[in-house]
Amino acid sequence: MIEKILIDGNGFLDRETKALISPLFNFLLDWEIRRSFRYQDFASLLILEPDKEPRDIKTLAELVSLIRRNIRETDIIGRLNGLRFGIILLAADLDGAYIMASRIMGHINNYAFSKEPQQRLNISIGGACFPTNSVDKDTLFQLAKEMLEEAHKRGGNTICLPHLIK
Amino acid sequence: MPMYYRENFNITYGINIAYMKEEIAPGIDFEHLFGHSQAMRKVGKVVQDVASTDVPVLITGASGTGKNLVAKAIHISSLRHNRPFVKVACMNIPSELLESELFGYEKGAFTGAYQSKPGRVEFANKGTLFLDEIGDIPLIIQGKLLRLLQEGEFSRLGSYRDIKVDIRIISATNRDLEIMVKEGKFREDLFYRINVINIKIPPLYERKEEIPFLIRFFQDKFCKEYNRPLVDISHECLSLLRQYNWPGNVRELENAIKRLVVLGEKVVIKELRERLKQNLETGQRDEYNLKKISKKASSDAQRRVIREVLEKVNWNKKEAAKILKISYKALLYKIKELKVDAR
Repeated sequence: MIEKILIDGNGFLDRETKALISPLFNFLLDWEIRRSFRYQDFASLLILEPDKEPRDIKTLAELVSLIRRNIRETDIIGRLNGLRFGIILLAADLDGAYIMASRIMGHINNYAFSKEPQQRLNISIGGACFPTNSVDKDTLFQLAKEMLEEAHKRGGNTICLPHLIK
Repeated sequence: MPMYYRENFNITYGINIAYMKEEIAPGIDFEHLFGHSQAMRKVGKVVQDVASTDVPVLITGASGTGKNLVAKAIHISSLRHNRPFVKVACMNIPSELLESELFGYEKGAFTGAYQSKPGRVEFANKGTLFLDEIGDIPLIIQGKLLRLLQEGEFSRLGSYRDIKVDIRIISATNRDLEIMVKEGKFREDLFYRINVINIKIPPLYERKEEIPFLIRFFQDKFCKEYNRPLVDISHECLSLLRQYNWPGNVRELENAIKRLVVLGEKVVIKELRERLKQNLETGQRDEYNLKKISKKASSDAQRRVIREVLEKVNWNKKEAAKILKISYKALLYKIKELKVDAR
């Protein structure tokens, strides 16, 4: 896992959650898109955000470790800003991304977080796939954000991917 | 076209100067490709005119004339220049694999499809898809390509889901697609779709004024590549290089200069002399051969008359045979032998 390689690095990881910091995540997204282009493969980007702000910051760290348990070793997770997290799913098309997103969501919905065991955490997920939705990193990011906003608009605790909302 | 580019439009050549600075291939910019002969300047002008639009372009010309570079030049000058330029060399991919390569496939679509794979068309989204040697595409795939051109959508092999894309298609071929259409080897509707703008690249013998520049360019290139000293080429060698007709076009000239740099000019002089002598002999042989001349003239005349009569009688061969005063069988034989076809 790339985070393990960088764990002793100087400031590559977010202190609170141990996810990658946003600039590094952006760099790796660009890198992986180039690599997928070269090897003619898919790569999907998911953006995930809790519908309500958790009471304790440690819940976020727990959330990241929970996500990490549900994704593959080669996938990348980063903290974009505030409560938003990005996940790069390598070699995953829209169907693969949906399966992964539902698995993450199901696990989080049923998980009792240690700092707030009585409350369940709801999350919304938006995503987009390279090259199906865009071959450009910025457009892909923008589309995934729009999908997340759409998920929030639909009442939260929802997964929105471009082919599902059409 | 962005304002910056519009302001830099060169009236003399009709070529956009801002774009001219960009490299089409390593060491080759617009000036190199379009700036050294009248014929190529005209091509350059068309490239600039079509670049800002999204119309499909068909580039034709003999092998080795630089069709690939012209396609790249169109992409670089277009508004899609910062988007992908995806080249598919149709002749290099076996026809059975071409469909999956172009359109991708879904997991389980065929034996060995263990996971889904995107096609090249998807990678060209918002950019340019360059189909090199489009004449080699089998008829079945031509139908799918037509749908892509008409509706801007396609589906992966083994998938029901349509994927919308926004791509510009540039195709190239050294074959005569019109003849292929007549022979039923190329879909007529696809031909008209891809042939909105036709750019014909002239062969090298029609733009011989470019040869001295090309010699210098390739000599520089290969001297650097093989770390050889740059030596002056003798007048004799230069004149032979100019005299020769280069049937393999720029690619053949490039290889000759490579040999010149590596083995020295004596080898090239010897080769060119032999070829020129051979050309002269075969040329003379054909030019003054009375038998060949009369046979060709007779065939041409017969072909013309047979077609004329057939057209008059609406291709009723029985009727035509009566008018031509030959048997029906003889007419069928003549049609086949002289390759008389409906235009």
